[in-house]
Amino acid sequence: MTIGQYLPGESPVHRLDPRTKILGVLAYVIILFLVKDFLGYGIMAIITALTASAARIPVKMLIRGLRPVLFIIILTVALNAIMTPGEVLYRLGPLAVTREGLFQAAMMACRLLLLIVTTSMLTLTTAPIDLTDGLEYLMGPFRRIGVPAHELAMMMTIALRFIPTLLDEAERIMKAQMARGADFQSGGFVQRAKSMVPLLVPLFVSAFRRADDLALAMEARCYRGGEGRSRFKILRLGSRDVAAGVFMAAGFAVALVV
Amino acid sequence: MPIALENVTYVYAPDTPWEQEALSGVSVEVQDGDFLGIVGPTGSGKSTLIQHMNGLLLPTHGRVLVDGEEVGKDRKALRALRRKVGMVFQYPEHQLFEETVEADIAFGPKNLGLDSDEIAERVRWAATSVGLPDDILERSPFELSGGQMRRVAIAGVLAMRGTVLILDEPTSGLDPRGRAGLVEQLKRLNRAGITMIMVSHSMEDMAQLVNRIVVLSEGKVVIDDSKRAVFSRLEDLANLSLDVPRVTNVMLEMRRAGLPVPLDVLTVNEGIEALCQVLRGSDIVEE
Repeated sequence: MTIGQYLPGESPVHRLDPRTKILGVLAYVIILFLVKDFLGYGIMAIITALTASAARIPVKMLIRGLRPVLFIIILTVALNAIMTPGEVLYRLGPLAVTREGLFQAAMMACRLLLLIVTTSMLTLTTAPIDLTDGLEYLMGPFRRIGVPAHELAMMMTIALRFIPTLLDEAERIMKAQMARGADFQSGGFVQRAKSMVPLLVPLFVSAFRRADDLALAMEARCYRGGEGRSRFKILRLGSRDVAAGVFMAAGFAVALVV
Repeated sequence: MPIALENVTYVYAPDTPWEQEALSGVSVEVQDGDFLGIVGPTGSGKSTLIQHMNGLLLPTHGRVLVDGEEVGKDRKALRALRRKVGMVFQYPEHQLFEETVEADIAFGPKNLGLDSDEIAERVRWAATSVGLPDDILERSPFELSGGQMRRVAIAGVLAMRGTVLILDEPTSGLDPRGRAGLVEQLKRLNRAGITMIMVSHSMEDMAQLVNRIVVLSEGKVVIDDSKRAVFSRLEDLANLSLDVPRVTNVMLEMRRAGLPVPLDVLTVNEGIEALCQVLRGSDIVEE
C-alpha cells in the first residue's frame, strides 16, 4: 500500500511547507477536472514528473501505488468506452464501443492516473505530523464558523500515529490465534466472519486500553485542547515555497490555456 | 521432535526502502526435553527466530527442519506443525477474547475438532498445570488480575497438548510472586517432558530454568553453550549490554574485594553455599 505512506527524505519537495503542498495538490486536482484535452493532460503530467524527480521518489514506488486502484481504472475505462453514445466502431451483442467512448475513456484514465499519482506524492513527501499541522493552519480561519480545527487535526494525528501500531497488534493477535489452531482463510463467508471474532475482540480491547492510557498521559501533561496552546514547530513560508508556488501557477496556467 | 534451523536468513519487507535483515545465517538445534534460553539485546532477532520454529515465518534463505521434515513445503503440514509446537507470545493476555476462562482455554482444543469430554479434560488439565483454581473457570477473563490473565493465556496454548512450547518473555510485567509461581510451573512442565524454548531478558529466570543458552546479536548467533559456560563469559555479555544473574555479580564483586569465592554461581542458594564454604575455611567467622 503506497497511498498514505510516507517516504522519508531530504529533497526540496520534502522540505516545502506542508501548506504549500496541500494547496498545490488541491489546485492540481481542480485544474485536472477543468482541462479538456490531451495537450493539457500532457502538461499536467510534466508537472507531476518534474515534481517526482525533484522529490527523488523512485518510479517503482509510484507504480506500486497504482496497483490497488488498477481495477477501478480498468472498470472506469471499460464503462466509458461502452456507455458513451456516438459513432460505433465495434459491436458485441448489445454492447457497442464508440469513437467518442474511447476518447472519453482515455481522458478518464489520464485523469485518474494523474490524480492518484499526484495525491500519493503529497503523503509520500510529507510526514503525517507535518500534514496535520498544515491542515490545522489551513482550517484555522474556519474556526469562527465552528470548525474545530485543532481537535480535527489532533484526531488525525492520533489516528495516523496508531495505524501502524494497531496493524502490528492485529498481526500479533492473528499469529497467536493461529498458533491455537485458528483458521482465518478457509470456509464460506459466514464461517470466515465468525473466525474474525478471536481477532477483533482482543484488538478492540487493546485499542480502548491504548486510548485510555493516551488520554491519561495527555491530561497528566496538562493538555486541554487547542485554546492558548503554543507550538513547538511554527510553520513559515520561505523562498522555496514562493518558487514552488510560481512554478505551479505557471504550469497550471499553461495547462488551462492550451 | 527435534527442531533444527539451518543457515536461516530472514528479510523483512524485501525490495522496499524498509528492507531489513532480521536474521542472517542462523543455525540452532533443539533436542527433545531441552530447555533452551534465547537472549540478546532488543532488535537482535529473538522474536523472528522463534517464529520460524512453528512456521509462522518461513525463512528467506536456508531451511527449518522439524522432526527431519522441512517446514513450509505444504500448508496442511504447517497447520499440523502449529498444533505440535505451541507458541506463547509476549503479553499473551492480550489475545484473550471469550466470555469465560473455560471457553477461552477451550478455543484451541475446539479448533482441533475434539469431542466435548476430551475438551473438558484438557481444559481442567491445562488450568491445573498453570495453577489456576477451579472457581476461576466460570469467570470472565477480563476481570482477572494481570498474572491470572497471563496464566489463562498460557493454559490456552498448553491445552493444544503440543510437545514443544515456545515462550516469549513469559514473566515480564508480573509481580515477584506471580513470577516465582510461573517459573515453578514452567519447570514442572519441562520435567513432564515438554521441550521448552524461552526468550527472556531476565537472567534470573534463565539461571533457574534453562539448560542451554543461545545469545543473539544483530541477527547472528554469537554464543551457543550451556548455561554455566555462557554466564562465565562476563565480558562478552557486558559487551552486548546483557546482564548476568545478580548473585553472579555479587560473587564477582566479592572476588574483587579479595574473597576467594567461585564465579560460576547462578542461584541464591548456590551463593549461600559457596560463601559459607569460603568463610568456614578462613578465620573471618571467628572474629
